[in-house]
Amino acid sequence: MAFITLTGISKSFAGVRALQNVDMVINKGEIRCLAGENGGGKSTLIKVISGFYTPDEGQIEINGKLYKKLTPQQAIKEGIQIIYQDFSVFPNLTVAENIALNHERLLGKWLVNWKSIRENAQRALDMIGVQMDLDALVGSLSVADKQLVAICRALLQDAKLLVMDEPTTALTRKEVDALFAVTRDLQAKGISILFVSHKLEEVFEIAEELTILRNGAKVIEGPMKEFDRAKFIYHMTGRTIEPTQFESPVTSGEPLMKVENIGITDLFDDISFELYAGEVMAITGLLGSGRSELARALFGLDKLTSGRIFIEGKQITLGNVKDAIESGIAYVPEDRLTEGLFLPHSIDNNVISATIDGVLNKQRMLSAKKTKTLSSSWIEELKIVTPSGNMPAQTLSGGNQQRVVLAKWLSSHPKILILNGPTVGVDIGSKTDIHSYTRELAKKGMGVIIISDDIPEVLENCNRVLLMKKGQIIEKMSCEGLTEEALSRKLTDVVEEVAR
Amino acid sequence: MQKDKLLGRDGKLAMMTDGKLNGLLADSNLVRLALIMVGAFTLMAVLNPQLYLTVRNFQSMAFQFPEIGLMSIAVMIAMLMGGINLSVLGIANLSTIIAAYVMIATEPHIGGWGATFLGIATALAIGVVCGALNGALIAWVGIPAILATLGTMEIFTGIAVYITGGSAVFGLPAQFAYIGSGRIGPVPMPLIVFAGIVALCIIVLQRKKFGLEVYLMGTNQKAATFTGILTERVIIKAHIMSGVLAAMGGIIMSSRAVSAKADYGSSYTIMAILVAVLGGTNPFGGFGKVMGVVMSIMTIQFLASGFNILRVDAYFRTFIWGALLVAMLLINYYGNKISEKKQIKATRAASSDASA
Amino acid sequence: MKTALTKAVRSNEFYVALAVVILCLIIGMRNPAFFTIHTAFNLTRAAVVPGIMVFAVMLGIIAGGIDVSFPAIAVSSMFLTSRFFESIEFTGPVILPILMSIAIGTALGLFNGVIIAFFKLPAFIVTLGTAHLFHGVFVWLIGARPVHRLPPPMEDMSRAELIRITGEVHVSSVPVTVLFLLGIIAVVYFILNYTMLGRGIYAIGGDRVSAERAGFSVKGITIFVYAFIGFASGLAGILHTIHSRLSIPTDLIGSELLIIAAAVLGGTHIGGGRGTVLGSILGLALITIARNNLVMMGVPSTAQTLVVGVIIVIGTGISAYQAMKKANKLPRILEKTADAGGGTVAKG
Repeated sequence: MAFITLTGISKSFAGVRALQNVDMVINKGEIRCLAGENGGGKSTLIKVISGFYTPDEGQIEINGKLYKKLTPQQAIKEGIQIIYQDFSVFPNLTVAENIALNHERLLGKWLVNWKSIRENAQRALDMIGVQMDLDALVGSLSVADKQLVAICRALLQDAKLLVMDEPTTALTRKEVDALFAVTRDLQAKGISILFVSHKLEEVFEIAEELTILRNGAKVIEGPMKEFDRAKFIYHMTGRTIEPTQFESPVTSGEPLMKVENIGITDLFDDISFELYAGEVMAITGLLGSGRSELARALFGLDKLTSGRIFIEGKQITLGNVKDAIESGIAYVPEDRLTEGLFLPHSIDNNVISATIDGVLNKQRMLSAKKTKTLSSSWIEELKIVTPSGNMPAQTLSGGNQQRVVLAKWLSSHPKILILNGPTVGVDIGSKTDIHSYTRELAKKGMGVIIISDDIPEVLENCNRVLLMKKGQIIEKMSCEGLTEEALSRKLTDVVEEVAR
Repeated sequence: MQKDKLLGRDGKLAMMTDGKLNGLLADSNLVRLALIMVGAFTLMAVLNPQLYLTVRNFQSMAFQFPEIGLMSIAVMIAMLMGGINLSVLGIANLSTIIAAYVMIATEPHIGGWGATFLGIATALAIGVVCGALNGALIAWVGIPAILATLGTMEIFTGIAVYITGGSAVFGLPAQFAYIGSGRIGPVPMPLIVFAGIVALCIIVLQRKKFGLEVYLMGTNQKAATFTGILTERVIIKAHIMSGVLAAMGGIIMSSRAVSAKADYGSSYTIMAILVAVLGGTNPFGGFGKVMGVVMSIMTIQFLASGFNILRVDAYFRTFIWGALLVAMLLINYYGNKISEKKQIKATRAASSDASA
Repeated sequence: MKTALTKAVRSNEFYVALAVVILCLIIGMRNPAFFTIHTAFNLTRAAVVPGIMVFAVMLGIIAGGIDVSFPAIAVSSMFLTSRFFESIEFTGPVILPILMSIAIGTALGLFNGVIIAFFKLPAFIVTLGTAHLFHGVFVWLIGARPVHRLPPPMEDMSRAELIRITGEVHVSSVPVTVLFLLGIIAVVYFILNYTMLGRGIYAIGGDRVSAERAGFSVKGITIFVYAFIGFASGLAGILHTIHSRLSIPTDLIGSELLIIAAAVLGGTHIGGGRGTVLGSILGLALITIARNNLVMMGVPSTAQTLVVGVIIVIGTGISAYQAMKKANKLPRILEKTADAGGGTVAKG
């Protein structure tokens, strides 16, 4: 039975069509996945469902009731709840308040009843069977717990349709499993779920029905079992993408980078490896395994307390990021918005930011000409879609932003490129481009380290993989012949060991 | 053909911006400011041409605005990093008071000129120390700039009050007065000093690596760290620069008064912030130009002198400053909205071109 | 397990209270006259006007904006009011001038609120402008001539005492105006802790976008906050006039940063979202004592500004430094080695 039926929804902004004649039905107790690349119209559609946008054409029917103009209040009343990518929680308020305050407020109360807030919050936590300190400030929680708080908040509003917008972006595999368990549990209670994602593996794992949007139009829909990987990707991107394997380079002679027993008190310990020119090496592990901490240290963000690092046989000391850059190391960080980009600044300024010395003229002044030349060459090389390098970086899509970060680091001509989660939140098209570009760089003699828990990404792009656990490297493997299942199991084994 | 279209659009955009530091926003601000400045001047000239359009009036204006102008640039530098400097006046007064003592003590031994140079050097050195303290509190201790400089404002002014007992220090060398009251030909010294420092600031902030680092850091300090910018060092350096500019403003101020006192220019702190914001400095950091602040202080001076000639009530003047700031905020709000829309349109068009 | 006690000790208020106690002990040791009813009463009197403003400005800071126009609003409302009642040779009930001052203040605050809410502009800069605008326009329109003789009902109120103790040396008294301070404290406490509006203030200070999505009326709350600041400033202004028995259009101007400092020393987070009434009471106490009683311990009056500055820097410095250290510290990953004692590991 249909919970919500969208018919012929169209919406334009400033003359640009964001949605064109989209139909979609979500049945009661169904898990439907809404997939599509960034800019495909997913977020516009969510805003139409939640009443924040009024469509130019088309109608919405919820529970048999027809809405020409759905308001956010009506949507909430009908039980439509959105869990945003950033969860929209209040870091300065307690768990109890975050979960239950809105419920009280929407009942029309203007006084706060602390007792009922605590009771309701506890009730919501019990619904999904989770234990949490009601008085803890949400700002101090882990990402996964914040998400649970957001889910509890939605449940208290008597949610009948839960829209989860890219819910797994910041979660580790273990946390994703927990989220899926909760999701199925909610489904069993008759709640419909609209799971918005572009992560292929997860979509296959959780969804029953699939709707794919491309350029604002629905391109296909149907039960999940009618799809396979290739078909999914084809409809998402509009092109066929062949899975590829990175060929191992010859690794002999002097390593490009040699790391000997490095460690930081409390974080990681006794890490040793060698990286040869032309290699793409993966460091994988769960969140909290020390993989990001190791990456930070290799880039001089945190100081080592033990061990030595050699580059081309010469020992280096990393006191700060500048030292790392001068030693030929570049680092594309995990979170490009807060760590990688100066969003309000122009693309040009972002591209030159790590290599300002390179665009100075003889008087050591900034040269507008050199800046433009350098930036334009990267915009062209990396196919960054923008009308001009003068545009602020914030006007770009996620994939193009990541290309700007890449350009910024490649213009420093690094010998070693460390990529931390290089394709998180990046659409499949850009992801493929970034991958093939990375392999290209390795072929030209760069040493690349990819830090990722995206298993297909690791296997397709790397020749070696180091597995981290509890701050130590527990296994070094060649990617040749390593299957997804095998690597996945190794990661899972780690999970079980941690749990034990 | 697609490509030609793209290039054409690109070329047009490139003409609209200078392509160096900021995007579209800051530059339309500069145009707006120039118009407002010319408007203010014309208005005042029309209202009282006999007295306004005289060499005397121009000279008197040129004596007056440089001191606040320098302090406004000092505030602007702090704002570029997303902070603020509330202690500029404290620095100005403290540095000139100590300089005054130094000059009085040394004049009998090394003569008026010698003492003046030593005094200026002392004031600038105190500016460096005060700025470094501000920078250290912000960068190393982690106090938000608004609180750190609020505290140091009290400290600097407090030291000044303590050592002078609250009274003015007189008896400065006659040569020292030359900086604030002298002229070269018809051009007043303060204007010359101001012009020189403005040129220097434009170079340092808008043409040097350090300047770009300040602008970048102002929008995202974390990204700056990840980019290899030594953020703590940049913060401290920028605050030292801010301190030196404040001290320089103080030198002109006390030279004009031929004395130093802990509470000279009591409205200058707020005034300097006002001038900086009016000049298009983004209080959230990352954007703002020296020339904007220069035009802003000149606008204020054009109006102030006109008001003087027209014998307008001092409170009316206060009202106008406030109204001007609020009006400017609203104008910029709508201006930015329009350019944002343009950017979104251009980007959307570019991406549909690319996918076509 | 966190007990209530350890929680209390860890709270920010605890440290501010400690600072107040230590300051009092030091002054008291140097000059036992500090520990007298007379001092306490004088301090209370001195705290009334700044106190009302501290709680108003705290509300603004929690909501994520720093208002610097409150002294201008206070002085404009009180000056306009006292000139008006002087001109009509008013002899009616004193509540009328108080209400008029409050009404003017609220209207001015409303103006701030509307601009800040609808144009999403930084409050600090907007109120910097409106402070000049308000102060300038009113004093310009009615002239800067001070009121030296307040209307009789206001004169009478300035002498009204709530408590009076006649000692051997002094006559000590608490003015009746302190009731207004207590009233404001009670109202702010109630709003912040027991109304949806108050939780909304915390919510928009914590995360504005989330508050919007959750359906809080961000604009409405913002406008309320600044209107309330105007309301309290109007009250503070007229009480200031009543205390000083004079109405001078340049009074209070320049006190804004010190008032903000009191709120912040009390633990109000300058970035918004955090702050408590208790903390601000302590911050107010700290600043009031530092301003009024340092002379008693032999600090020359010319050094007071310096001491207040040092208190602000140290007070904000300690918590800022701790917060920075905490933010930079990465969570432990490696397990402790066996000889460090495995039993303590589980706690993290």
